[in-house]
Amino acid sequence: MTHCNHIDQIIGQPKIRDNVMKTFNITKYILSHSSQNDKLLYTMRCSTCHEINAGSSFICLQCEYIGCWNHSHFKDHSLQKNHIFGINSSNQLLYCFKCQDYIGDIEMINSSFLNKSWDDIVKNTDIPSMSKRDGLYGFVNMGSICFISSIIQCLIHNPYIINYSMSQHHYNKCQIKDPTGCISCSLDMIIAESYGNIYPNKNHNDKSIDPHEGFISFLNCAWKINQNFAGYSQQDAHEFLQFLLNQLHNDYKRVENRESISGMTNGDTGNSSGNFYCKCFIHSIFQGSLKSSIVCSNCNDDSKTIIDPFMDLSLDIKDRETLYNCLDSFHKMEKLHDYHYRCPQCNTTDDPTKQLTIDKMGSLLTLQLKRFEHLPNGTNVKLTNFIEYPLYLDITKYCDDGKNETGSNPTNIIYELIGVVTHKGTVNEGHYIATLKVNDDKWFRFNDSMVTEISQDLALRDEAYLLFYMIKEVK
Amino acid sequence: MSDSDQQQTVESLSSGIYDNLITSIIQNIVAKETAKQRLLNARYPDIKAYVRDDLGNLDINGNPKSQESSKYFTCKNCGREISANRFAAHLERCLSRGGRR
Repeated sequence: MTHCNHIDQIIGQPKIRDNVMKTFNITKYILSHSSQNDKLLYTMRCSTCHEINAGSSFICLQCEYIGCWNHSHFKDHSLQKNHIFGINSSNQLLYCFKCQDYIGDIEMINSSFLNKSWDDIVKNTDIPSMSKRDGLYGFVNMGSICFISSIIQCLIHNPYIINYSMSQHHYNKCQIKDPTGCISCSLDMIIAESYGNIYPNKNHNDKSIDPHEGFISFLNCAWKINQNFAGYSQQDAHEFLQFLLNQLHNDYKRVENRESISGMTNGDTGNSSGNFYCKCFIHSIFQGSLKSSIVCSNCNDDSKTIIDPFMDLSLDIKDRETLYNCLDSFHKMEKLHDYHYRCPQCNTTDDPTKQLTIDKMGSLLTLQLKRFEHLPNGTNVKLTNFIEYPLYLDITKYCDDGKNETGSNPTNIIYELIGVVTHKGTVNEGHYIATLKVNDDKWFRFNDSMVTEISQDLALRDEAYLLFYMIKEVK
Repeated sequence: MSDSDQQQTVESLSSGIYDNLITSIIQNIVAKETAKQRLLNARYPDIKAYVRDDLGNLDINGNPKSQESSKYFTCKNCGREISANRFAAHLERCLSRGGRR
């Protein structure tokens, strides 16, 4: 619980501090950019006993020694050479062997890459306030806006989007720079209000301060683009998500002044030749591509196979119980009847086989469970069956084997659940709630202005409508 | 080497590997959590943990749902103060009227 005085001594002397920070940063850079194999062999092998990562491995800050924890080898080294600081190769944390504890409370150590500008940073920035540290902020219900607020909550707790916004990628280049005139600017403002000290002169306990500036600006923008999406009447959250991502993409195009060939819609462009995928940050995160293979049952010709980009996948849920069931059904190979097929190679008109496989994946996988069914008599009905969804989703078997890739095929491609949007109610009158994992740590439910922490167990038992999965690992 | 000696070596080897795997997982988690908590305590000496409520009656600060009829927001188009619940409806009318007042 005590503060490390030993690192203070180093920080107090500018020349020594700069040298030490340089070594520290170089080591961390190497650790971040090495393959798992290299890390194990070169940064986790104890110089004394040669065991790989016996508990933890520490890289000495002052020499090339690497010592393990379990056999106290780094401890011995620190006593012998008086080198007291070690960098943990698994998590890059700094350990002081005199204090016998990790140094977690020094801002400059945690942000060591900013060492060169540190004096400036201390003067011009501040840490987030306690209530804003995780950006937990509920949006007041202003009408029928829950379809908007639940989607926005999903976005502002998405690490990629937070990073993009806080790096001011959009703000730096935007010609408009007005939250009521540019939807990306309003999203930036919502993030600033949720996470930052945007009103420093106002008392945090002042109940009348309930900043929704960014959110209101957002509604203004949305109205100007499409009146349906300004919250006056309830809309479908999935449609709204597609609308919003499209707008963010358009803003990117405008700001970068670039013509990017896009595949924003959900696979109905039929673009099979010359697949150029938009490199905007929205598409890099969300966009994947789906291979619709149509194979002749006679000669295996697959020239009618097409690859289409997608931003999300819509899954049928009727009579299904788990998400894997839905995906299996989506993916399964079937005979295509009622399709005027003639094989270009062998000329047969026999029914071909068709299958959907994932050709490319973005870092985010968005799934829509088709809960709203159009009946032949014109009415709409909502399917309320519970679909079990996992915390970790293995999508390997739904991915194409990839004949054009060099090297070995991955054995496991795993995505991690980070968010759920639930719809409660009937087809015509309903309410949307977002349940999100924040900080890689805890689950929170966003129900209009009410933000509650819930157990992970409960988070997995929603009547899910939209599911957001983020890439976890590729083995 | 007799059979029982070999047996012991295999056993100690496998338990050594298991020990390595388990301790490295645990130590990594402990290190990260400790550092994270230390940072939070240093930044916010009065930090309170979020209140967890699976039933959804209490928010993260332990408060029940607040009365929203008492909240007012300023319309960016006409400058009037509108009650929260009617805000979207107001916006629809206000913006339809065609531009700023």
